[in-house]
Amino acid sequence: MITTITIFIPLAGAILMLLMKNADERTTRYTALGVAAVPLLLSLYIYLAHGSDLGAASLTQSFDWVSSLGIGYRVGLDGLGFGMFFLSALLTLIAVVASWDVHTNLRQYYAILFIAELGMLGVFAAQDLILFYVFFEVTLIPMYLLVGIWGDENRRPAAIKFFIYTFFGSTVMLAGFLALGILSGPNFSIEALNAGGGLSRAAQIAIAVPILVGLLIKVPAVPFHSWLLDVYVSSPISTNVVLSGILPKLGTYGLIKIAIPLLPQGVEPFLPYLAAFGVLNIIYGAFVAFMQTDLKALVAYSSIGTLGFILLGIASGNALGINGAVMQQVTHGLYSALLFILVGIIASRAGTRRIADLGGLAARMPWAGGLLALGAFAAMGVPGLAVFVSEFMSIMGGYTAFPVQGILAALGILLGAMYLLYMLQRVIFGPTKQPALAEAADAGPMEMAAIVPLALLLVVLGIFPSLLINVQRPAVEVVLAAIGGS
Amino acid sequence: MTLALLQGAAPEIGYGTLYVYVGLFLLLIVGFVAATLVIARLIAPSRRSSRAKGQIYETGEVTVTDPWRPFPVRYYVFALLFLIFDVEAAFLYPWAVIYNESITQGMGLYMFVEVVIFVFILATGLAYAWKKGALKWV
Amino acid sequence: MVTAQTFVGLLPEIVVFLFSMLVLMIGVFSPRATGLTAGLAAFGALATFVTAVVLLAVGFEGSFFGDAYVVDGFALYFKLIVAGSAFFTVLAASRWSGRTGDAPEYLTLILSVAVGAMLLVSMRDLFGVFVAIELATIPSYALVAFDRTRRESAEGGMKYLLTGMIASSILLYGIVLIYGISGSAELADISRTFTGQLSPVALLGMVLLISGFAFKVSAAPFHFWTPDAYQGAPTSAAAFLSVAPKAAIFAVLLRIFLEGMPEAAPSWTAVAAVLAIVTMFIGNLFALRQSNVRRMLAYSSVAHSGYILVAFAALQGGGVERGVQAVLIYSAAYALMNLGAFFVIDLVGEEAKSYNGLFKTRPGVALSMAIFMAALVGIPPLSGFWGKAWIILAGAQSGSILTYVAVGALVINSVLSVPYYFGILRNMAFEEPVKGVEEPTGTGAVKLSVYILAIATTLFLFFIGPLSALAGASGLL
Repeated sequence: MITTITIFIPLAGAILMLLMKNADERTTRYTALGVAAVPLLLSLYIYLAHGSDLGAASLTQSFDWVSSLGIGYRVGLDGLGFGMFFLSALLTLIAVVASWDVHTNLRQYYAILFIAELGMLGVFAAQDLILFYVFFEVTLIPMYLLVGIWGDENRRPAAIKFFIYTFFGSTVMLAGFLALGILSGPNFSIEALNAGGGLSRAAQIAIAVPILVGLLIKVPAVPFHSWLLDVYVSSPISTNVVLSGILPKLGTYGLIKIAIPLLPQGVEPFLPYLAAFGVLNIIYGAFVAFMQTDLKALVAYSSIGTLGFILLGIASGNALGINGAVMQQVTHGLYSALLFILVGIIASRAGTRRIADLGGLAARMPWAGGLLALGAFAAMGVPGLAVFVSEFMSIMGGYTAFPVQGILAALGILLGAMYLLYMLQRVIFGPTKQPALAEAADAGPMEMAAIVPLALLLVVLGIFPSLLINVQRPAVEVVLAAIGGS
Repeated sequence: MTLALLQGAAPEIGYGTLYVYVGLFLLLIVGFVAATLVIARLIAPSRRSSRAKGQIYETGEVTVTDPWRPFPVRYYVFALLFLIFDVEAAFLYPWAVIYNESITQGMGLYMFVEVVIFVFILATGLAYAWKKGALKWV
Repeated sequence: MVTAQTFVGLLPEIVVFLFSMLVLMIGVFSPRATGLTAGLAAFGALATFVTAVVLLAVGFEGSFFGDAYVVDGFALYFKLIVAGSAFFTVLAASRWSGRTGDAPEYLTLILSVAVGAMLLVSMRDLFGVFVAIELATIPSYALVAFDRTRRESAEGGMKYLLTGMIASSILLYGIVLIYGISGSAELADISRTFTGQLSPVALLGMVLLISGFAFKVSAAPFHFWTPDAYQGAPTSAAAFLSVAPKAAIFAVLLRIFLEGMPEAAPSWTAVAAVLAIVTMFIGNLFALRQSNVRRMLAYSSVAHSGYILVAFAALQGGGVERGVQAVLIYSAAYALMNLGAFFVIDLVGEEAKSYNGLFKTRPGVALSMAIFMAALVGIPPLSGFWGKAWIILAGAQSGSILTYVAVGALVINSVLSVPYYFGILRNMAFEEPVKGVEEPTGTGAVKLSVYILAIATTLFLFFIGPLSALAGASGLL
C-alpha cells in the first residue's frame, strides 16, 4: 500500500498545482516543495523500516488488470529498484528547489514535473511488464513538454527529436514485452516470468533483440545517442536534473530487472557486445567531451560516458559487476545532477557557458567552484567519493567476464580524468575573463540547498557504500540465481 | 426436341452441354443480325443521308437546342418522387400475385404486416416531399 | 419463421429506425422545433445503445431469416459502438445542423447510416451484406455533401459518390462470383467451397470482395477518396463516417473471413498483411505533409485502417482468438479517440495555426485534444495503446513471417505518426496564440461530447479488463 501511495502522491500534487490558480510565485514554490518532499520522506521511511529485506519484491500490492492475459497492477520494491526509487524522489525535490530559472507558468511546470515523477517512481516499483511499460511511457510526454516549453531557443527540434527516438525505442521494446508475455503464458508478472518462463533459446534470442534495442536507445548507448545532446543542452536546469539523473536509468534498470533475468539465454550471446557498448560509451563520451567548448555539453557527454560503466557491469553477469552497475545508477544520478545544477549556476552568473570565456571561479565563487571540483572528481572516480566504489566494482566485474573490455574501461577512467581536469583548470583557476563574473556572488542559500545534499550523499556513500549495497545485494543475488551465475 | 430434352432430363445434362446450346444460340443471333443487314443492304434503295437523318432520335420530335445545357432542378425532384411510386408498383405487384397463396400457407398476417410497413415507409417519404413543397410547380 | 424472438433480435435496429422516421416527420411538420428533433435523435441513439446493452447483458443470441441474420455477442458489441458513436455525433451535430436549417434531414441521415451499419454486423448472407453496406453508404454520400456553404463539400461528396459506386460494383461482382461458384450466398455454404485448392473463380471472387471492402474501409491503394470526402464533409459527419460504418465493415469482413472462408486463411491473411503494410505507410506518410487538421485526420484514419488490417493478417495459427479480440478492442478504442479528435476541429478550426497557444486560451479543450493525439499515437495508458498492444499480441501468436513483418511495420508507423500528431500538441503547448485565424464555433454540446470522450479515452485503462473479457466471449469462433 505504501508503495502505491508513494507512486501516486505526485499525481495528487500535479492536480493540486493545477488547481492553485491564484497562488503567487512564492506560495507555488513552497507548495511544490512540500509535495515533492512527501515521496522522499516515505521512501526514507521504507529504507529505514524495510531496507534490510528487499531481496524479493516486498511492500507489494497487486490487482488483476486484464485477467485473461495475466496483466496486473503489481507494484513492489526490491533492492534493484529501491535505490533509483529513492533517487527519483530525491532528484524531483532537488529539481523543484533548482527551478529558479523557471518563471513563466510555474504551476504547470511543477504539475508536469510531478507527472514525470509518477512515471519514474512507477517504473522502479513495477512488477509487471505492461505496468512497467506504461510507467516508462508516462515519463515521456512530460519530458517532451518540459524541454519544449521551458527550454532555450533550440528547444523545439530537440524536444521532438528526443520524443521520436525514445518512443521508437520503447515501442520496439513493447513489441518484445508483448511477445515475451504472450508466448510464456500469457503472463506478464515479472516475478513469474523469471528465468526464461520455459521459452526455447531461439525464442528468447528473438525476443531479446527488440527489448535490448529499445532499452539501449533509452540509455542511450552510443550509436543511439544522437537525440541526447540537444535535449540536455536545451533543457532548463531543473529538467536536466531529472533528465540526466533518472531517465537513462530507466533503460539500464530495464536491462537488470527484465532483460537479463527474464531472458537469460536470449541475452547471453549479446553480453560481450553489451560490454563493448559500455566501453564505447566510456571512450566515445570522453573523447567527445574533450572537444566540447560549451560547459553544459561537456557535462552531457561526461554523463553519457559514465553510463558505460553501468552497461559494462550489467554485461559482466557476476555479483561484483551487477552490484556495481546497480549502485552506479544511483551515484551517476547524484553526480550528474550536481554538475548540471552547477553549470546552471555558473552560466547564470557569467552569462555564458563557453569554457574559454570562464575562469577564476575559485576566487569569485569559492563554494560553487569547489563543489564543481567535487563533482568533477566524483565523475573521474576519485576514491573517497561514491562513484569510485561503483565504477571500481563495475570494472572489476567486467574484467572478470570480459578482460579486454575491462581493461579498455579502466583506460576510459584515465581519459575521463584528463578532460575533467583540463576543464577544471580552465574554469576554476586562472584569471577572471568575464566582466560579469568579477562581481558575481557565490551560490546563494537556495542554490546551496540544491547542491549540498547531492555532494554530501556522494561523500557519505563513498565512505559507507554498504548503506546502499546492503539494500541491493539480496536482490542482485536473485538475479544471479536466475541467470545461473555466481 | 431441345425443349423436351431440357424439360425431361435436365439434371443429367452437364453444364458443358448447356454451354453448347448457349453457343449455338449466340451463333443464331449473330447470324440473324448479319443476314438481316446484308439483305437490307442488297434490296434497299440508294441511301442518301440528310441532316434530319443524322439527328438524335428524340421520340420523333425535332431537337431545338444543344442537349448539354442546364435545365430546371424541379425535374429531378419529380424523378425522385416518381421513384417512390415506381418502387411501390414494382414490389406490390408480385406481392399481390402470391398473397393468396401465402394465406393458404398461414403467412397471411405476416405478409400483410410486411407490406404495410413497406408502404408506410414510402408514404413517409411522400409525406416529407409533399410537406417540403416538392409537388408545387413554382 | 418469424416469431417474437425475431422482433427482439431486431429491436436495436427497429428503435433507431423508428426514431429516424420520427425525427424526419417532426422536423418537416414543425420546422421550428430544432431542439426537439435534436433531442429526439440523441434520445433515439441512446435508446438504441441501451437496447443493445440489455440484449448483451441478458445474453440474447439467435439466428433469423433462415440463418441469414444473426444476433450474437459479436454483433451486439459492434451495434454498441455504432449506436454510441451515433449518439455523440448527434450531440455534436445538433448546433451546427440547426444553423443549416436542415437539421432533421441531417440527423435522419446519421441515424440511417447507423441502421445500415447495425444491420451489417449481423449479416451472414453476402447479399444481405451488400444491401446493408449500401444502406449505410448511400446516406453517407448525402452526409458528405451536406454543407452547402462550402464548395469542398460538394466536391468531396461527388468524389465519394463516384468512387463509392465503383467500390460497390466491384464488391457486388465479387459476391456474385462467390455465389456462382458455391451456389449460395450464405457463409456456411460458402465455407464448403473455400477448401483445399481454390479454383480461379473463387480466388477472383475473393480478391474482388476484398478489394471492395478495401475501398469501403479506405485501405490503400483504394483510399484516395478519403481525404477529399472527410475534408468536405461537415465535421460531425466525417467523425461519424470514419468510425461507425468503418467499424461495422471491419466486423462483417471478419465474419465473412472466419465463417465463410476459414480454410482459405493463408490466402486472405497474406492479402491483408500486404494491404495493411501499404495502407499504414501511405496513410502516415501523406498525413505528415498536411497542414489542414481535418485532412491530416483523414489520412490518419487511413493509417488506422492499416493497423486494424494487421489484426486481420494475424488471424492464423495461434493468433485467431487474439486477433478477433484485437479488432473488437481497437474499434472501441478508435471510436473514442477519433470522434473526439474530429469534434475538437468543430470547436477550434481546421487550420493547424488555429491550435497555437490553445493551452493558454482554452486549456480544457487543449488538454482533451492532447489526450486524443497521444491516444492516436498509442501512448499508454490511453485507449489507442491497448488496441495496438492487442494487435501486436495477436501478431506474435500468429506464427507467420509476413505477419511479423506487418507487426514490424506497425511499430515503425507508430513512430512515423508522432510528428504530425505531436505537431498539434506542439502548436498548442509551445506556440503563442494567433488571433483571427478562425472563429471558434460549436459550443455547449460539442464541448460536452469532447470532454466525455477525453475522459473515456483516459479511463480506458480501467475498462480494458472487462472489455477484453467481453471481447473474448463475443461468440465469433
